[in-house]
Amino acid sequence: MSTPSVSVNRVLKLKSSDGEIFEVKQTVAVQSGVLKQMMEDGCTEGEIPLNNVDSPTLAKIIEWCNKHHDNDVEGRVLSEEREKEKEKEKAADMKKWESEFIDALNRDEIYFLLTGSNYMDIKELLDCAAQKVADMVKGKTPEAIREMFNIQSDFTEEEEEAIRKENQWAFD
Amino acid sequence: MEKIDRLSNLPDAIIHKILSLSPINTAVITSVLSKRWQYQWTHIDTLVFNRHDFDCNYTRFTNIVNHVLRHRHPSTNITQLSVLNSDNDGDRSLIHYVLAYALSRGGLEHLITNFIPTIDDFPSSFSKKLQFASLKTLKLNSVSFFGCDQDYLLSNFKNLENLELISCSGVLNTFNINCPLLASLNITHCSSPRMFVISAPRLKIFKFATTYPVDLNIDKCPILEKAELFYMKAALGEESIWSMLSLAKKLSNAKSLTVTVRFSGAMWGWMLCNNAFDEETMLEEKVEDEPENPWLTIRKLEFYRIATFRQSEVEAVLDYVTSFRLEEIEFLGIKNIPIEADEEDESGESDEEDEFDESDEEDESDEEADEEDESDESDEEAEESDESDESDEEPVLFHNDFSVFLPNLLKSKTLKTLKVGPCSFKNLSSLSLGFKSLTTLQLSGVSIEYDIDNIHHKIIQGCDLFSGCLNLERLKLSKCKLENLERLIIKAPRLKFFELESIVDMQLRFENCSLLDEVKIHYTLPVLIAWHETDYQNQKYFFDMMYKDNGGGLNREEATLLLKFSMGKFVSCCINVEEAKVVTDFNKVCSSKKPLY
Repeated sequence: MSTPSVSVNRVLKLKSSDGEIFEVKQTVAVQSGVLKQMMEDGCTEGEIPLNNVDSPTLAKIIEWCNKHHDNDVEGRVLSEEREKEKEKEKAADMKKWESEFIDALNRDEIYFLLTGSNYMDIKELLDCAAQKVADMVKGKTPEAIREMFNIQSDFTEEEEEAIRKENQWAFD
Repeated sequence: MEKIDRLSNLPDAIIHKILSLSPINTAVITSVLSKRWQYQWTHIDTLVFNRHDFDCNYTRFTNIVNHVLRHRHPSTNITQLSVLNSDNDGDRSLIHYVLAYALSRGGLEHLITNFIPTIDDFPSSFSKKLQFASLKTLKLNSVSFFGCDQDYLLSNFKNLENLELISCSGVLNTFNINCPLLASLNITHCSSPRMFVISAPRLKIFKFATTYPVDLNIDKCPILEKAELFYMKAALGEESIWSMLSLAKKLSNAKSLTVTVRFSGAMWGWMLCNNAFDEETMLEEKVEDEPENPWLTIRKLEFYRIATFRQSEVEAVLDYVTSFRLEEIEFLGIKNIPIEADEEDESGESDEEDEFDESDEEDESDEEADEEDESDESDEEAEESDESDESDEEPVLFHNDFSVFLPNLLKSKTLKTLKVGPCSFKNLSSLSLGFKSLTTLQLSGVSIEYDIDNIHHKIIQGCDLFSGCLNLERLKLSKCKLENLERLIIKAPRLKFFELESIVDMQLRFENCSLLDEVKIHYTLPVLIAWHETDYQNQKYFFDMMYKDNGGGLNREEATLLLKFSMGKFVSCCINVEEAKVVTDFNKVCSSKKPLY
């Protein structure tokens, strides 16, 4: 893999949709597929505009990336014998941190995080946020899901009844 | 919260991802949310059909699977497919249909199935066609490979990273596994093949469990991290250990290597464990030095259900093994020998604890036992109860007296850890145990009894049992009992950690334990004794420990003393020793922490 221009101290300037500038270390930014590609292409000079990501969301995304980057680095310093134990602990800690991070968000924030991480191509974050929504929906009735996410049905009663009948087993 | 329908505004790809992460019936019911959602579920790329989740009969299960597959969007790949049947009914047509469907779409990365009964040509459809080249995970449980092209069975999975074969059968001679990217391989209780030929240069984790001797031909795995070999129900004699150890030798470059051999038969239920952490070279060297001796590489030895052994057997093993590099010995007790206590009415609580301990041990040593093993064990346990009931009439058992093994154990120069379960140290004639290399000693339910005739009566009042253990760092006494001693003196210059669990008063005095920095005491008094009758003794006892006595005791600033009492209820208190020095009345410490009486 060729990542020639990535160095520990170099910093990228990310510009959110509302004009705020965020500085991110290159080593952290590689978690984003989009930024990684740009670094490989050598076009990261100046501000990088992220037109689909607003500043609160970008702040969250960077928090996530920093956390996951820190974790990687610490893991490598440890001596071999302790590594196994520590790694287990770390994995558990990270799981805990991730669930707290996601649980602290409201539905709007999750939405922007989904679109933002999708846009920046950060797979782990996208998976984590998508899993959160999946967990929220799991086992709910259609009515409850509509209520939860303010989804308006545009089916007629007959249409809805037909779909229910078609997929009857899932509604039992 | 604003009334905006954000979920429906998500790009299709994200909605598909969310629905793929949901249970399949939840994904399907989203079809009625609105027109935007009607066909979203048909794009999911993860299909988990677990009959247990649907809780239905086989016909209905088949109908559900068919329904989902029929309605899926034709251009969507399946990356993960899981078809799990919960009962032994059903036929092959379903799995054929599902696999054919997955084949026709391509892109499958993870396949998990336990489809019973046998699916003869299921694996051969793998090997003939390369559409499964994308497969990364394959987990098969109770699948039979009977009748398929055995030479190529698992040789065409160029991208397979994780392979699990549990209780699979049907290959008669040689089972070939040739997977260039395989990182994790688990073969557990697969019956019938005489030989496994494995080529997996990128293997990191390897687990292999068998109930009969198998030849394993495995190419070098240079980055192997963890290898576990289990050999259950081995026959008596060294041959079976041999086959496992020669296998272990092939895997000796693993960072962590564990070999477990369990012998069948109640009398020989013991286990060998070889932990070669960071000792790869030593293992290899030694095996080459003296290839005739499989005992040589053993680091850890566990005897479980100690009362079922013949003394001569244990002695023979110990005699043999202790002259090598044994570092750890564990003697696990049996539950039918009661811990003797002064009080006739022993609280039910401690009984329960004993049982709990026992089952813990079982779990640890027996994770891989299959059902048959378990039933064997319950038989064994039944036998044990008989045996221990009549233990006086059974001359081959060692009468629960551990001290007969001491001469053998003391010979070892490498022994670092010794754990002894419920039994007695009877007629100790020497004052101290001279385990010079020992760093960890754990005695649970051990009653210690000196041979009074041979030891001066004065010394019996307090005996420094551990003073010969010059390197002892950790000492745990759990429900131990002093038979004819008033007090145990603990004199261990390197002792750092001491833990006591007791159900009777036990007088201890620390001398010359200047490194001691952690003490834990769990004190369970029998229910019948009221607190006020014994509190004076308790007080005296703990002060003995806390005060500096001849330079011993807890005198390190960071030392902590954790006390836990129980009289039906528990009281915990954690005292920093610095603080404790100031406290002159133990009752105050207690009463400030507990609302007991």
